[in-house]
Amino acid sequence: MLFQTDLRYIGMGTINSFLIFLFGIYIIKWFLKKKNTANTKVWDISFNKNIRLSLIWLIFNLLISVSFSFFINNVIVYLLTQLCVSIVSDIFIGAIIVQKLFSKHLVESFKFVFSIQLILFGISIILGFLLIITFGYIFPEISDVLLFIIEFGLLSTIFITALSLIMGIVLGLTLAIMRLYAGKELYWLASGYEKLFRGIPLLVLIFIFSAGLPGIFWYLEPLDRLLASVILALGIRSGAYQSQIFRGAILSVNRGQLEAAQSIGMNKMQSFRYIVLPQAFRIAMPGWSNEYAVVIKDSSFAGAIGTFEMTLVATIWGYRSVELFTLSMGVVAIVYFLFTFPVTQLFGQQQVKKLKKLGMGGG
Amino acid sequence: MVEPLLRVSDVSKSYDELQVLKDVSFDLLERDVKVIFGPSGSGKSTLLRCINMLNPPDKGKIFLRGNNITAPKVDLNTIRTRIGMVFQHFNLFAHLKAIDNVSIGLRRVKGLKKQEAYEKAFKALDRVKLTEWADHYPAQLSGGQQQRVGIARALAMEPDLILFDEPTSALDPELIGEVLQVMLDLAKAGTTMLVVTHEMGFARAVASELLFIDKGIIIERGTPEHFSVSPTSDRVKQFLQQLDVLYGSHEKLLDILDEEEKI
Ligand SMILES: Nc1ncnc2c1ncn2[C@@H]1O[C@H](COP(=O)(O)OP(=O)(O)OP(=O)(O)O)[C@@H](O)[C@H]1O
Ligand SMILES: [Mg+2]
Repeated sequence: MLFQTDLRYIGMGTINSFLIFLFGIYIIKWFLKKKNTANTKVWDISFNKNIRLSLIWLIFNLLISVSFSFFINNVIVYLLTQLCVSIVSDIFIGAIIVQKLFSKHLVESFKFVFSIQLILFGISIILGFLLIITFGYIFPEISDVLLFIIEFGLLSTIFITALSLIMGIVLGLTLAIMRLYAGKELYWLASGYEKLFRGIPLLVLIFIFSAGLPGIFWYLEPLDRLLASVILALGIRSGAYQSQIFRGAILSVNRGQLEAAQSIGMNKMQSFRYIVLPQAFRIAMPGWSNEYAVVIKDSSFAGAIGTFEMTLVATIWGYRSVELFTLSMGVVAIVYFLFTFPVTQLFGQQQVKKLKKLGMGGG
Repeated sequence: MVEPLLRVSDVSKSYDELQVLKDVSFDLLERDVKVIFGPSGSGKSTLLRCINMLNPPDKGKIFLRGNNITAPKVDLNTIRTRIGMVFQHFNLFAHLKAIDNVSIGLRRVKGLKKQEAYEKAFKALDRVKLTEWADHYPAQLSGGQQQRVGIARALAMEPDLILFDEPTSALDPELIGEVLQVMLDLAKAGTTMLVVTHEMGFARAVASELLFIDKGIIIERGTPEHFSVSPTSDRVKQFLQQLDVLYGSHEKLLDILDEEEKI
């Protein structure tokens, strides 16, 4: 086995790290708010820095929790070590953040963070054990399904979603540019593409590329052929929708800014690259996060032609009995939700607020 | 004879059927300030946009330091780095902080290093008294501050001349003064400026000549004194009277600014 520690406990360790991260962020946020009620500018800058540093800190924690599992096989030892290391790194990085933000003395900021982390330490130990008891002993079936889905389906789902989205971005941006800037022929080609692929059900597209045109991925292994045709179908359809998202975003950058860019000597390419595109990407974010939500959920169609991904894996688990089927569908639904909601929240709602603040996108 | 910095020679421009400019000609010397005014729709913006070739003229020639910029095969992008433009609605880049709005041309067009571009941009912001606001986004600035960033953006490129298209007409009355003050400072420091404005106080303070334009034709031209004492055409008299009603209060504001300087 690859991991010495049971996968379940790696999950616990990861959740622990995540909780520490969340608590840390909120406490620092609260502290900052108290400090700078008057000075919103400092607050904005410091909060951004804080989030960025904390993200690095979280990734660091996750790496620790996974890497430990390679050589520690005792669960208790694993969890404790993992906890201690993340606590120490949290304190260290937290102290630096506080010192940087308030130009305080290092010792002073260290004390501040240390006391916060001590409280967190207690909380996260309690939470950690609660989690182990809940999923390890009270509802072991749930964690079994969850682990099965994560182990055999999650990666594939993420892989399909990511590749389809990237393909969709490239296609969508190209189509949008064709419709906005290119000649008549390309314009018709692009809008024809959009109409065509928005009018065909996804499942039909998948069947066309997998069974209907079996030759297109002749150079791949048979199973990979199925995967590739799913990605192709999802990407092609996503491109048709993303084209609209990008076109709307590009159009909502007002003409005056383009003229201003020209008036300081930028050529068409430069003004597109430095003025239009950066704004268009930001304006496209909310729509794009929506598209992500659609694609990750529709990646479940891959199961229909036998490609392993979360839904198919959950179905396999559930075929053994009716109760198990209900349970595994419930769990897989929650997993999809967890992968969808935070993203649409972060890139959708938050971005809309941010755009409003910058006065972009006609808001 | 000195060669004019800018020579506009018989420029005409039509949009479809509508002729917007008819044989407009004038010169602008180095360190000179000229003001263009006239009723709405008379072609003032179109004239400025012809000069920096955003809308090339149909007929006529424009010379910048003796070079014909209306000739075919002229590199318009290079020409535009030498002609600054300040817009009525500011047209700041919404995704960039003030300092980046000002420095982006230096970096991407003139190819300066980030550090160097920032230093120059900071100096430009200093000239419009906005260094403290360098890290703010346009949406976080007042209209007057935004317009001053717009002026700094044009200044930073170190152009030969700057065109102003009604720089204060989109501003609340109490914000007009700060922008006019910046423009006065620039004029006094020897910046060559061609300004479309109805702020007669500003014109009187710094302009060497005023051009009154109506229906695409320069109807009357002369010194500020000429226009305040003895304008000849009835059209001008009538328009100046309307301006008095509308803008009278701002002029007083400028008079105050002037007196402050005398003290
Ligand atoms: N792109 C265009 N296409 C067609 N007509 C135009 C265009 N731009 C301007 N016009 C017309 O040309 C005429 C002159 O416009 P211009 O903007 O130069 O006037 P202006 O003197 O600047 O007026 P204002 O004081 O309102 O800014 C107007 O009648 C306007 O409708
Ligand atoms: Mg105008």
